[in-house]
Amino acid sequence: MPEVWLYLLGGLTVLSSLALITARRMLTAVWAFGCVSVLLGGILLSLSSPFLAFVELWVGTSCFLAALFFARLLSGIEARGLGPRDPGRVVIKALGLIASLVLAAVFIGVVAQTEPAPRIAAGDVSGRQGWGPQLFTLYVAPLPALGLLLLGTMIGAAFLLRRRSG
Amino acid sequence: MVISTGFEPLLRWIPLLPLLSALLHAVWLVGRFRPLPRWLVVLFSCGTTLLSAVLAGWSFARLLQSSDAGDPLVDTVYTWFGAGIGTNAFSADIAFQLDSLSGVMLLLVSGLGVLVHVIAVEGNAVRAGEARDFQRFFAALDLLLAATLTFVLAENLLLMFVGWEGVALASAILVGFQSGEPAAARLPSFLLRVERLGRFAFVLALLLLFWSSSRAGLPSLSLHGLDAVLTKIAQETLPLPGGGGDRVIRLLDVIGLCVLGAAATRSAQFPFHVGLRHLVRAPSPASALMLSTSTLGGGVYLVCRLAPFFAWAPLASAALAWVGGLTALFAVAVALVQRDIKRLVAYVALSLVGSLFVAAGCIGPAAAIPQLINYGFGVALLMLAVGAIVAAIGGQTDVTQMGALEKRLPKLRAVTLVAVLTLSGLPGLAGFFGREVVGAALLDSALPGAPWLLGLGWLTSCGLALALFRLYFLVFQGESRVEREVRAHLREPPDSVLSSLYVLSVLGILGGYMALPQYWGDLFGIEGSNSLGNFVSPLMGASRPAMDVANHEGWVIVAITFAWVVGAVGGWGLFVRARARSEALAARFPRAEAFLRTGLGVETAYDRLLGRPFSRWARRFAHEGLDRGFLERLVIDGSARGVSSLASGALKFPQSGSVQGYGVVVVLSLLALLLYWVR
Amino acid sequence: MLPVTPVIVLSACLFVTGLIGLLTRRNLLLVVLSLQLMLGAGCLAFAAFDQAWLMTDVTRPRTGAVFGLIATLAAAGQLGLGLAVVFVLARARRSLDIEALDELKW
Repeated sequence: MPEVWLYLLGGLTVLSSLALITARRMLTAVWAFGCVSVLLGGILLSLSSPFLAFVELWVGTSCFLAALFFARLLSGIEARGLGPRDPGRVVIKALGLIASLVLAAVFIGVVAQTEPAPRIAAGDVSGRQGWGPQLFTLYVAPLPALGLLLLGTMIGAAFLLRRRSG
Repeated sequence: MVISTGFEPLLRWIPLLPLLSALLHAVWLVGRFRPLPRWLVVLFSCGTTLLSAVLAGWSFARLLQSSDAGDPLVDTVYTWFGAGIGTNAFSADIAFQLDSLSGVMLLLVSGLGVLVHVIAVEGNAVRAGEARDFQRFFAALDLLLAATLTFVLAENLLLMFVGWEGVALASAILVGFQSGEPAAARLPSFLLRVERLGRFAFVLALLLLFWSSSRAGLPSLSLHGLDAVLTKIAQETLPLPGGGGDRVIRLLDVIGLCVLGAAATRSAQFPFHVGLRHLVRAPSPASALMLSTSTLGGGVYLVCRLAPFFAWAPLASAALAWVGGLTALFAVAVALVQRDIKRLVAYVALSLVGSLFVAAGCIGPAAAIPQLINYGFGVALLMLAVGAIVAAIGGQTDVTQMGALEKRLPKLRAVTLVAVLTLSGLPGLAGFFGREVVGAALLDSALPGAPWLLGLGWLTSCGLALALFRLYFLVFQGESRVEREVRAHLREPPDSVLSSLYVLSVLGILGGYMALPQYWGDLFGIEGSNSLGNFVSPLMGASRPAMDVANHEGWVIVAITFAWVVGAVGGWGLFVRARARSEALAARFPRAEAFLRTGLGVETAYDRLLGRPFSRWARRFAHEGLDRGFLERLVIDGSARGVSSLASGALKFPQSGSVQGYGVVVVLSLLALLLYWVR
Repeated sequence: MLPVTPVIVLSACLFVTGLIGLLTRRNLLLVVLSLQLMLGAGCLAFAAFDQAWLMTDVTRPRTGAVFGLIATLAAAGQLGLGLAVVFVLARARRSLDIEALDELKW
């Protein structure tokens, strides 16, 4: 696939993800998520692992459908009880935003610094050292951590709720 | 008890047997079982003491057998603790050593222990009390004996310290011992303070010795190879403060002074005599044992045992002699105005111990030990006899309220007379020979101020004779001031008591001839007449000059005879012939008399200079300031308040419960980590 | 084959976007979806690396692809459980607001 398609797909994916995080209505955000999944699958197809692309597409679409289903189920609830805004939360959100942007910068910076292609072209064929273990760590470390955090939090809250009402 | 083939293992049982008896009684009493019947208590206590004495005698005989080699018998029970390896190894063992010095002292202590136990069975106020008190008394008495034996037989300074402390403990128990009265058991606090000083001095000496011997490469606290260690550290010095590095004092002098400090507090030398009058509150058998061997005698033994130090330390020896000399005179002065008969005996004993210190500082154990033995016999005899007198009169202790008891208590009178004669120095008896030796040595001595000491000694001899005869005459002669009722019921003490007193009298008389000075030996053609002295002295090496002082001894003999005559005649004159006039004279200076009687007001001085200011300081600074102000208010309350304000203040905010807030924290820390890694 | 660096940059952007969504949105369901987005971004990065390594040496083991698969599987698991929990919480609290779940402060 020519590069221009990659950039197009990539741009669209980014736009959709932005829509996901900024949409007002829940349903809009869920549809944006669906777009993102499909686009991701497309990009993966253009990389070297079709099998991975297939799996990712499958999982992504299922996610989208399940989320859609739940969104419809919970849409009645969404309409109620969105509570008053807490000024303290604004600080938290601002901090979160800033931290995430800095993280992005760090990622991209590291990637740019350790890009292997020019090095390989210059004759350095120790491909393993391309992006180095640092970048690998960057990706391996946060994901499980954050996922577990969220999941754990929710499970904990559910447990507490059950204790309270049970 | 297993008697193994090597003989030495029996040594440990000598102090152990009385200790076991004491422990048995203690455990029995603490467990609140019904108190053992008296005969059983007597069986245990007296039985173990007798057994221990038999062992002592046997060991001594064994020592005499092997004494050609000159090596002491040692019994090592186990290694208490140790450190280092190779040539630098140090170990402190629980080990007992029997050499000529400790052997002789051992015989004295064991013998007196047996006699005291026998007397305690019958001739004791405790007898009349409850069975619990009876058992309690014997427990304390056994403990005292066990501690003294440990002290005497110890092979190293650490075990000696254990015995030292044990004696302090046991004497404290005995002093506070009153049948069934808990209030009387509270000890006067200055007794304890003085004890602490002595303890501190002892420990300091220990530490200095260990430190210096370790530096010299031979760490040792044992009495075994002491001479070798001492030759190594003999030249070490310590800088004196304020001298700018020029003025130094020899290390061995410092150690000697510390040992002197310990001995002086234990033997109640001036100015540490403040506890002495309380010492005799104990029941009289215990007092007798304490005065003769454990406490007052214990200090002398310590000085003799550690004589190698003093041999190398002229400053300390001089101090030793002077402390003893001054105390002797002081004690005699106080004894002359004492009314309480037991305190009178105590001060007389103190004066005699002072003379022993002079002997130790001027000559060494060769003179001091024989005199200590005779002193032990004499003072024990006197104290026990006085105890019997007090018991006979029904508890009256004021010596001015007695009199004319010679017809009623003839046997007691005889025994007391023997004690008085030996102690005061009747020519031909033990006390006389002792003074002769010391006086002759002082004439040629290099001690600083020796002539003054000689003069002091002469005055002391006069005074001592005077005081002793005062005791005798006031109690037994003159007109009776005893109440009529009591006079009718006067009875001699029971036979067991009397027979022990007879034994002691005989020992007191014969003791002098065991240490006959060589002067008389030459006169009668006996070689080596000072058998006790010669027996003890080879231990001390050649570090002290031999006692051949025949030149001026004749003059010394005349002088002390004269002193005794002055004392005896003066006593008769003042307290028999012209008693009323002398009492009237004394009554004209009541304040002076009171001042003298309370030991020159040293006790009040202590109280005002040290005691009260210290209590005030303790209350203001330590209790109110440090304890309440700082610790309570600042540290404890403050930290509690700090934690609570921290928790309700700063620590409250992170606990928001907001999931996304926690997530932000995670991301921030992740960022920090990544920046650190990627850098 | 595609150049790899832009893909990695894209993955970083998606990841960070997902992170922002995770930390900022109030709706519980959308928070879960943001998390999914992050996982997808991770998968994309693994695939890109796989590609890059393949470009240098064809005989290498396909580590990147494997990890991508693992990430996808994790995403699937988390989604299932997460959605169920969201449902229960929403029913109990009668609200999808994440700020209504603040009991974790004790």
